[in-house]
Amino acid sequence: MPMIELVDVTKNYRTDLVETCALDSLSLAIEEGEFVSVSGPSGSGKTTFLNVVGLLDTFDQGTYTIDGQDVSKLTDRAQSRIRNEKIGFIFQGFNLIPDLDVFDNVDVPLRYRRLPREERRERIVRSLELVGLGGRLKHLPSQLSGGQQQRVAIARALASDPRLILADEPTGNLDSATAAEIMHLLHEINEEGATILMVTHDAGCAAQAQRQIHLLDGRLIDYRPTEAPNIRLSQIAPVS
Amino acid sequence: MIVYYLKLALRSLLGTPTQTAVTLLAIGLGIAVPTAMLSVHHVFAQNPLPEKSNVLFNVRVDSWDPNSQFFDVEPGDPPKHITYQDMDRLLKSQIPSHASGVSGVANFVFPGSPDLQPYQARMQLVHHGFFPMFDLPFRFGSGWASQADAQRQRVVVISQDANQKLFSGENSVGRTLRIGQNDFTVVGVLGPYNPTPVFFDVIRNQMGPPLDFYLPFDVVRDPSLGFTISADTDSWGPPPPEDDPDASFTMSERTWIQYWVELPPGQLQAYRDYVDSYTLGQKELGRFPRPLNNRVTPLMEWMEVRNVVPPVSVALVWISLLFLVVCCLNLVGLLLSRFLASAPQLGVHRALGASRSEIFLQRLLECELVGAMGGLAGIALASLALVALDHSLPDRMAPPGTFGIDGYSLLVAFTLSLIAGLLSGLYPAWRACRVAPAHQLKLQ
Amino acid sequence: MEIGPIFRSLSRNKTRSILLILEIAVTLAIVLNCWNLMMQQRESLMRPSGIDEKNIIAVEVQTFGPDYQDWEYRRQVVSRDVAALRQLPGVIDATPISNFPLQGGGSSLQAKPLGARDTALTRAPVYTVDDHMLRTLDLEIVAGRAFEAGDLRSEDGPVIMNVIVTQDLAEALFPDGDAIGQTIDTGSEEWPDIIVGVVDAMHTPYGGGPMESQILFYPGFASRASGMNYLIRTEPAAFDSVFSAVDGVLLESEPSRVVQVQTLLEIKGGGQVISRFSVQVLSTIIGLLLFVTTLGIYGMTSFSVTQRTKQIGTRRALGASQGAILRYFLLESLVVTLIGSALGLIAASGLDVLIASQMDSERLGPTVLATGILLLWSLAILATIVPALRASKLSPALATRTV
Repeated sequence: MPMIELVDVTKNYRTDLVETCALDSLSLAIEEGEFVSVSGPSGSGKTTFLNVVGLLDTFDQGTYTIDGQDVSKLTDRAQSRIRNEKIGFIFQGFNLIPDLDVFDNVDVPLRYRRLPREERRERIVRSLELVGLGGRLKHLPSQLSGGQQQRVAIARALASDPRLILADEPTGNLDSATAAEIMHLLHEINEEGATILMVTHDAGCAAQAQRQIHLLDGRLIDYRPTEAPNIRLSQIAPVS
Repeated sequence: MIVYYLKLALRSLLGTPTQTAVTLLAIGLGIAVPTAMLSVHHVFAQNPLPEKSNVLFNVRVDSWDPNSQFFDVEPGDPPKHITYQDMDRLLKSQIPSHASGVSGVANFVFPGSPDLQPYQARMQLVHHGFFPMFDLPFRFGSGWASQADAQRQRVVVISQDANQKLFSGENSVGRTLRIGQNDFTVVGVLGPYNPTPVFFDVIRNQMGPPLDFYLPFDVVRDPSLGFTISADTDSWGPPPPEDDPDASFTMSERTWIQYWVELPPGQLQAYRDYVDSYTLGQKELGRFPRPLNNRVTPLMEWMEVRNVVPPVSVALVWISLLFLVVCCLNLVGLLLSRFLASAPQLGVHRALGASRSEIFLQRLLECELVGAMGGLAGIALASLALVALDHSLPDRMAPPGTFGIDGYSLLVAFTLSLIAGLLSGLYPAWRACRVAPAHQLKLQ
Repeated sequence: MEIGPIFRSLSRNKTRSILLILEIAVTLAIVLNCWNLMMQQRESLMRPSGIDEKNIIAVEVQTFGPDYQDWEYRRQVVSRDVAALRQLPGVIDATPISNFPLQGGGSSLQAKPLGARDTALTRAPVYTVDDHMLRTLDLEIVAGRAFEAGDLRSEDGPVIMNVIVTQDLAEALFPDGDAIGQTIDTGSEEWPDIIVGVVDAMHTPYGGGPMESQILFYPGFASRASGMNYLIRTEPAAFDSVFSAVDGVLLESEPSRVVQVQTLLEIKGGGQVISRFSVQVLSTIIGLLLFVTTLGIYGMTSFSVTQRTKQIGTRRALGASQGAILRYFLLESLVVTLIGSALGLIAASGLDVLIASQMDSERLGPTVLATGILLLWSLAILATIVPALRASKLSPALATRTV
């Protein structure tokens, strides 16, 4: 059974006058442990696709199952629980909460999971150490560089041990050297067993995925390089 | 979780100090005005004797002129006072457990000490039942017995302040005090006593402080003692015969006495019947020309009858609550902009697993926090206003310390701020929890 | 020009517009009613007393000892006192008086034409004064004559008295206008009083109602065993020097007395405490309300300017002048203010009815309505113009910038 499976998912955006089709009968299955990139031109529905997969947005037709569970039938609370426990988000704009320091930012999903204090602390420290920010617990986001902020965001996504990581242009706001570091980190996470679904319009990034999906006008062009071997971690050594 | 939400709320408020300050000022003003007004109102409207107020009654009988309305009462009401002769006869009823007339006289007090000048004082005329009926606290001695009333004994109960001034605070029971040309024996010294309002004499001494001297009522009838009545006296009808100096008490229609009774439970109707049958008897003797119109009024109702709470004070309370409504409408706008401005962060929380109800609760708590902090600001502003008010009113109206922040004001401010926070927060919090997370995460 | 778009934009920002409309409506309702209450209280504060209150000193003398039980003794003391006071440089005149006017109460009685039915009884504040009262109070005789020395009571006990009444009392007792020489009954048909003079208007607060200007003056040496009161009217320039000299003059002749000197204005102030308190509180509430609502309007316009920064840039790029942008925001705020005012007027009348049912107060009048609404509108324009000007100065280049 695939981890996530979309069958004929359609989503339209309506304004007063125009109706735009963002996802058009999209069907897709992703197995646990895959590293999938989604690319496509601007307006092709990439972000909508990620939002639907991440349960951040609804859709009009079709079915979407996670671990065999039909999500459109779930209550808001149950959907929130899936986001909290199974999914980790990494955004282009990092989306850290500016009023909270690094520690507290990573703490947010763990709080919603109502974990005991000790376990939260352990997970926060562990995931921040994993992204190399173990010594910056008390810094505010505004005191960090862009790359560091994205690492915090990754640590936050990892802290709740999600099985699915959704990354929306994770390197979009970063210089190339930092971008390479972040990609390296994502590969490490994938090696550990997490499924990664990454939206990007950077062909270089997209090429590093096991499987590349192209979206055009809300339709899917799945490209699975069967003959080419998976790119190994060792082949994309960090720049710095 | 609540604690965590409060922490988030506090962080978020501290993150935008200017906006928070404006918001707190807006709601602080909104809390301050009704808090101050309700505190003032409370001083006027409080129950001065909560444990007994339901068994104490003011008694009025309509002995007034058939051709003119008594002028200082609502149309249709009997006079505010009763006459001496009616009091004298009503005192004979066995129904009340206690009863007393209350009025005032003026005379000079001659302190024993040569350092003190003689001074004129208004003194309270009461019967022996006054002290147990109104639970006056005694520091030394007690009130007088019923014979003292009957025999016009020259005894006096003095206040703690007077005892301090005249007898340096010692136990002065048994000592003498010269009032006018005569010596009176101190039989009791009161403990601290400062009811607000001075409910048994609201007609002349509403805002207090209570008088320093209490005398057996009938001493006023002894012309050699030189007391002059100090109360609103209103008369009608022919003047009493000139040759009998006592006739102005026993035969005139002069009203000048507030009459009080304490009734045992269940005796109210019996006492009303008694008062009515008394007046019917008087009608047969040619008095009480008006229709039967007697009142046995419970204490708190009497406060209303006498407008102890100025009508303008009630109006001001309502107006101040409407002022709070305006401030709340403003607050709704401020909170709404605040939450919509932080919509991207709401999206993050949603993405990280917060359900709608959690976001709603979180934001509502933030509103309550704003309300509570605004309440603190409001208490500070209200206490300034009350201090200013206390200074601006003359002592006659409001002795120093009449108005100020007390437990009641704190309770009012706290309740108002929580209600204001809740009501103003409901809609913005609802809007916040409906924010579609997907739309907020892309840009930033 | 842009009314259509403004309404569409308002209905898109429905919540904020509704909030502001409600806020303006409630504000207007309260401000109008507070203003109305305040004007009434002010009116009672400003109501002329008809006497030269600014230049009158009020003296309260407390006396001790058995001598003062004797009426004749007191008469001598009073005569000596007023004579001495009139000698003071700067004093226009002085009179003994039974109790001070303007203190909000005092002593009153009921009077009717002699022989009339009791239904004709009219209640009147009563003051006992001597033959110097006209000059002391600064009242004018409009009919009949002033008190003369011969009118003053020469012994204790009941006599037929000559009295002076105010014009209002004269009209209340004798609507035909023939008060002079009439006899009135103030409780005893045997000892009626004869009206010898009518003075012009005088008004003393006495719990409200027409009796406040229906005043009755008795001639005499007002005094009690416990003391007496005097009023002294001075030249404005001499007020302070007389004020400080009174004490000494009175104690010189009779040292064993206590003298308290006040200005009549102080006494008047004491009687008007509730009114003055109300005026203070009401004006504070009005000020705070207008302040808060002005802030609210300012806040909304600022918000809507910030929200539409890019849109404004685009409009400017497409050729809208600064004036057009300014006009747009002013019109938007005007529409909201107008709707709010209309609702506010309805709410104000409702509140007015409610208040009138609780206390006797005059109803809202057109003057109050007009001033209140104009004031609110000017504040609304003021609160709009600042952010609107900022909007009009935004650069057209903003249109091309991605925010």
